[in-house]
Order: sequence, then C-alpha cells, then structure tokens
Amino acid sequence: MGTIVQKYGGSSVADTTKIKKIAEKIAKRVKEGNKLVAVVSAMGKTTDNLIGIAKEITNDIVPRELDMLLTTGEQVTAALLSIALNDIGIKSKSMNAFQLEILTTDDFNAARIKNLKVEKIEKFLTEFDAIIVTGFQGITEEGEITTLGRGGSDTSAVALAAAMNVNCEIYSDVAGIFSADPRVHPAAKKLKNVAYDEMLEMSSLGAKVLHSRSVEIAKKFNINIYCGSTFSDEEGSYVVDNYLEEPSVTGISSMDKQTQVTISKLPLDYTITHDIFESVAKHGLNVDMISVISNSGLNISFTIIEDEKHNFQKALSEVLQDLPKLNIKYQSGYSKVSIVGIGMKSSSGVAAKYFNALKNIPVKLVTTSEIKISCLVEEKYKNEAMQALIKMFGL
Amino acid sequence: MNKIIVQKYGGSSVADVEKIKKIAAMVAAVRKEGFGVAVVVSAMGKTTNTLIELAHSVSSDPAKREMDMLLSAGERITMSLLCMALNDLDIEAISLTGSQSGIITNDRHTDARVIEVRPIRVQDEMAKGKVVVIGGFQGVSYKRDVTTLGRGGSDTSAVALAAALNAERCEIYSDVDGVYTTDPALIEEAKHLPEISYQQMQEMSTAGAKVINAQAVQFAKEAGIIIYARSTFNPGKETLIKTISSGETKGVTGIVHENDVVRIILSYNKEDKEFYELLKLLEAKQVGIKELNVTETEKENIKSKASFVVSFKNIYGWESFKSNLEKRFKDKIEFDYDLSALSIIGEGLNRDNEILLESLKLFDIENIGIAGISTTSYRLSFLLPKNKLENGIILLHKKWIEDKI
Repeated sequence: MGTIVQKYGGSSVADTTKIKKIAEKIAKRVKEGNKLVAVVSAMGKTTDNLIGIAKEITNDIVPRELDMLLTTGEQVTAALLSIALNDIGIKSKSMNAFQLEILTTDDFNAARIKNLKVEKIEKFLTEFDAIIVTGFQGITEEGEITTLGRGGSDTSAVALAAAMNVNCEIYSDVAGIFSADPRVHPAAKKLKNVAYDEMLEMSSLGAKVLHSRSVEIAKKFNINIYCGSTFSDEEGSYVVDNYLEEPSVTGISSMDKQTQVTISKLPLDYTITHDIFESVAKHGLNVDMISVISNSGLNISFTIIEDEKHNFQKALSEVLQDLPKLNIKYQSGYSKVSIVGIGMKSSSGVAAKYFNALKNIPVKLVTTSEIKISCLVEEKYKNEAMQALIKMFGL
Repeated sequence: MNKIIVQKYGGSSVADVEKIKKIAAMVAAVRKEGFGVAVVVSAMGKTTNTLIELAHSVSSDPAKREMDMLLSAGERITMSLLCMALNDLDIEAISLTGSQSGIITNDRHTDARVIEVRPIRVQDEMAKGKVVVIGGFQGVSYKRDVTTLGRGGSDTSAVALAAALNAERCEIYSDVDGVYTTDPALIEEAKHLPEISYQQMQEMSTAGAKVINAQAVQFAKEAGIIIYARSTFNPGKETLIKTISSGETKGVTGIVHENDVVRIILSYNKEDKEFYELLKLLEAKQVGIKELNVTETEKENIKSKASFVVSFKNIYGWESFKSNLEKRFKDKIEFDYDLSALSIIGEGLNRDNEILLESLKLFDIENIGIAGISTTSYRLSFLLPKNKLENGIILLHKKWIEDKI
C-alpha cells in the first residue's frame, strides 16, 4: 500500500494491445490499495519516425522545434493509457510536463530537471487512482517545452519517485540488468543487485537499460530502482546503494560509433588545454578517454561520439583559430568496450587478467577508473574483445 | 507595428512533407512583403482519424478529457515541422500550442468553446520579427487541461486569433477555392460564390457545408474580420465572407447537405419523465440536436412521441452511447440512420411558402418521400432517405440556382 512510481518504455507501449495489458497491470496494483504514477515513453518507433520526418524537411533542425515535435509522442501514449484505464473503471488522468510543472533548464534536446512541484501530483492522487505522466519532457520557466535527451523517461520517473520519496519501477522488454547485453550475448547473467556507481558507469558506457541521469538522481536521493520485464513475472534487478556479494567485475558494456580526436603539436601551454575543454563544455558536448601527453609539444587526444563530430569541429575552431598550423585528426570507426565492478576497488589482479584476455587484439587506448576499465578498439574487433572479457571474468 | 495577416491551412494542405515545404514558401513570400504573419495549422492529412482509431481500439467510449490530450498532438506535429521548414528558408519562426497562444476555452472537452484569447506570447514573438505558427483546434481550460474545439475547430482558432490580433484579414486555405452554391465534388454545375454574408455562411456551415466552421464565422462577424476562403495549391478564385447588407441578396444562395445524421424516436409516457432523461443524456454526451419534434399520440395527453434529429459525426464513442440508450429505453427507442438532411440556404425564405411548396412539388414528382421539414428565415431543411439525397440536391440546385439566372 502506498504510492508507486512506474515507467514503461517504448517497446512496452508499442501498440494498443500492449497498452491495454499495461492498463490491466496498473489496475491490479490499484485494486491492491495503491496509488499509481506511471511514466510512459512514446509508442515503439514513434520518436525515430518523427526525427525521420524532420530530417526530410531540413538538415539543420532548430532544437526548440524538435522538442515541440518529439514531445507529442509521449502525449499520445499517456492519453491512450489513461483512456484504457478509464475504460476498465480506474480513475485516471494523463498529465504532461506543463500541467505537472516539471521545470528544466532551457537546453533543448538535453534539458536537465531543476525542480518539480510534488504538491501538484499529490493533489491529483487524492482525486485519481492513477496519474499517467508523459516521460522525457519538461518545461522551462518561460513555458517552453523541452526534452531530457534519449532515455529521458527514466529520469522523469526517478525524479518523480525521488520527489515523493518512494522507490521506482522501470519496465522494459528486458527482464533486468545483465552482466552483458543479453540480446547480443545470450549467456549473460542477470544481476540481482547493481550498485549506483556500477550502473552509472554502465549507463554512460552504452548499456541501454537506464538513462545515466536517472541513476544519478536515484543515488542522490537514495531511491531504489527496480528494473523488470513488462509482460513477464520473472524477477528483475535492483539498483541500490550497496550490496553484499561483490564480484570484482559485474558487467561489460560497449559503445559503437566512437571517434578519436587527436590534436598534436600544441604549444606547451596548459591554459590551451583548459580553453579547449571549456569550449567543448560550452557547446554541451561530451568527451571521454582523455589523454594529454607532453614531450616536444602538447598532444591531446579524446574520444567523442561520431555524430557529434560536426559540432566538435565548430567548438575547436573557436579556440584554436589563432593556431592555424595545428594538426587535428578525426579517426572514426571505433568501439569502446568497458568492464565495470565496484569489487575492483578491493581486488588486485584485475588489470593483469584484463590485458591477458585482450592480448591478441590491437587495443588503441585504455583508460581506467576505480571501478571500470575501458579500451578503444576498431569496430571489427569489438565482438572478439567482448567474448574474451566475458570468458575471462565469467560474465 | 506591421499589418498582420492570419492564415490557416487545413489537414489536406499539410498532408505530407512536400506540401509543408510548399506552404513554408507561401508563408515566406507574405512575410517578405512586410506583413506580420500568424499561421494556424491542422493535423497532417488523416492523423486525427488515425488517433481516433487508436483510442477506439482501447475503449469503445474513450474519456473526453483524454481524447483532447491525444488529438492535440496532431497539430503540434504539423506546427513544429512547418517552423523547421520556415527556418530552412531563413525565415525566423516559432511554434506555439493553443495553450501557449493564450486560447482559453471552457472545459467542455472535445467540443470546447473559445472564451477568450490572450495572445501576449504571439504578439511578443511577432514583435521580434518571427512568423508564429499555432496549433489549431486546441486550447486550454482554466483548469490547465488541454481542450479541443470540435470539428473544423482550426478555423475557429484562426478567426479568434485574427480578432485578438486585430489582423488585417484572415485567410483560410483548404483544397477548395472557396464557397460554392452546392458541393462541387458532387454537382458539376455548382457555381462559385465570390462573396457571401456572414449570416448565410453560418447557416451553410450549420447545415453541413465543410468549407468553414460555423463558430469561426460567428467570431469573424462579431469582430468584423473578413475571411478569405482560398485553395492552397490552386490559386485564382476565392470567396470573401463579410458583411453584405440584406438588400443586396435575394432568394436562394446555396443547397447544402449533411449525411451523418440519425433520427432518434422515443415513445414515452409523460408521467415517466423519460423525455427529459433522454435530453439530459444527449446533453451529457454533447450531442447537438438539429431538430426536435414532440407529438402527443393519445388524446389523454399521456402517451407521446419525440423525434430528435442529431449529427453524430463528431461524437467519440457513439456506438457505445447508442447501445447504452438501447439498454435504458429498450423498445421505446428507435434509431433511423437512413436519412440525410438537405437544406436550402438563402434570404427571407419563410417570408412566403413559395419555395417550400415548389420544392415539395418537385420531390413529389420524383417520388422522394420527405420525413421532416424545418424552417428559419435563412434555411429550409428537409429530411429525406439517403439513397434519394443526390437526386434531391440535383433537383433543388437546378430549380433554385441554375434556372434562376
């Protein structure tokens, strides 16, 4: 008994048959005496289709208008789910970000939630048994519609749960969190528990289970996230602060379409390093696997997502325009493969095993943190590298 | 401040990406002439119908508030795409929802009425030199709920905005180049009308003409905004909807029909209050009554018969509503779907009975049985069997339009 926040992803609401099944699922929980807040994504491939139409119109999509376009997807799902619930006698209301006043920054396409008025939703819950919330979206102080970036519905759900101080259930077509992507590696093991920090590394490393921002919020407010399958009763996984059994390596993930940027022969002046990354940050771009080496000059390299190459060129040209003779190299076609585990902190020999597993694979770059090791390999070596690591660490 | 033009593009005008690009070019041209431009758009092509089908696949009687949340997504897709297309042509543009545009309505979901327009944001953006693209058909209630304005509601959005913005004119673009004496898709001899009065246009729309929504005409009349009804991709002709002093128009202007009508007949005892119950149920479902007749069938004044002619086109979940009525009133209620409404629109129609008598004579010769008649001074309506409708239109159009000139 109490309030439950749930989130249903795009594949779970892909058609009206599935939406009706979810309505039944929610109804069951309501009849057990709970109040439900369900956050929904757009139906199936809707978001991709909308982006496709926008691209037919222009190559240079205005970010504000893209958000106006994409947020219709969740509104359709939310309304349909609420219609289905009312049809089976559950008092339900769909609410969008404007109505719930989910306030965000004004970074269109990648806004961050600043504040949400929990009194609003609590008031609606006294009148209704289920509130269906459009995921992925927010509004700015000026009333502009924003989106939270790909996978942002997870963040909507966890932020609502955090504001109401309840746990959050996230449903998708995958029955939990696995040591490796079960769609590619069928032998991957389901993890009963995953620590926030592990999950954060895994989300940002390309494991598509949870939006990293949602895990950050869960960690900050100490909210547990349950990840389970929408249409099966199989037990899922819990994302928690800490758990007892800690194998040294918990999971493996990969991310394709990596581009390595190398800037060589910079003058030996470290303010330039600062200027470069400041400009990158100002453009809202993300970098990873940074390496700065100085010998005769300064050589900086880092990885970016291939699709953002154009934006990086813009950002770099702004700071480096006074240094026309620079050599900036963009090398595409890489994958990043990472292993993660909070147990790494307390076990030794992980690195030795890691390099042993990869001894026959040309590794371009390696970076480490306390709980992860990542390497950059050409895309064609990705599967081989993953197989070797899965075998070595028993994932 | 520049002079403002409000344009509205209907669903068939924005049906695909190519059309949206063409419209962007049209809007850009008007903007470059120096006008402030507000563009009201409908949902693309069959989007609204697709969304309604989705709703019906999860519920036979979908909740109205949720229908509005669902359907308003359609216009938002169009408006953001049109803005992208305008920006691609280097025309600064911004899209606004009904709510952001300050279109405030009552909370009669799926058929809301515009109460007030506070276009502050629209004016702000126009002052920055931007073309403002507005999602038609939608508004926001004082409860902050999304509402929709019913069939043809985008016309109402456009005219209401034109009035609030004190626009120079309101241009309504669709796939027909204005108003005809009858449906040109059915009758080849239909004549184009270069102008028509607000009053007569309202009557034509109420009687079933699809060119423009009746409430929109009402708004235009109140604000004195001239409506230009034009074809999007076939420029040339147009119809001006404006004030025309009644001395200038005489006789019949048009022949209009409506197919989606049903006659509900209730046999009841006055003591049982069933008549009032049915009236209340129809009101709760927001079913508009076009015609109502009550007759006493027995002298003692106890047994009566009521006949309601209603339009069910815009009623979501009609079938489930109908089966509820059948459950409630059992064999006392009958539904007759085999009827269409055919109306003669004009000026001073009931001054004498000449037009009525002549028309009835024609129907008689052709063996068209008339199931009901109603009159106002601007409209003369007949209920006739669906399979006789086309014949009826041809007869009346020939008699009152073609033969008159």
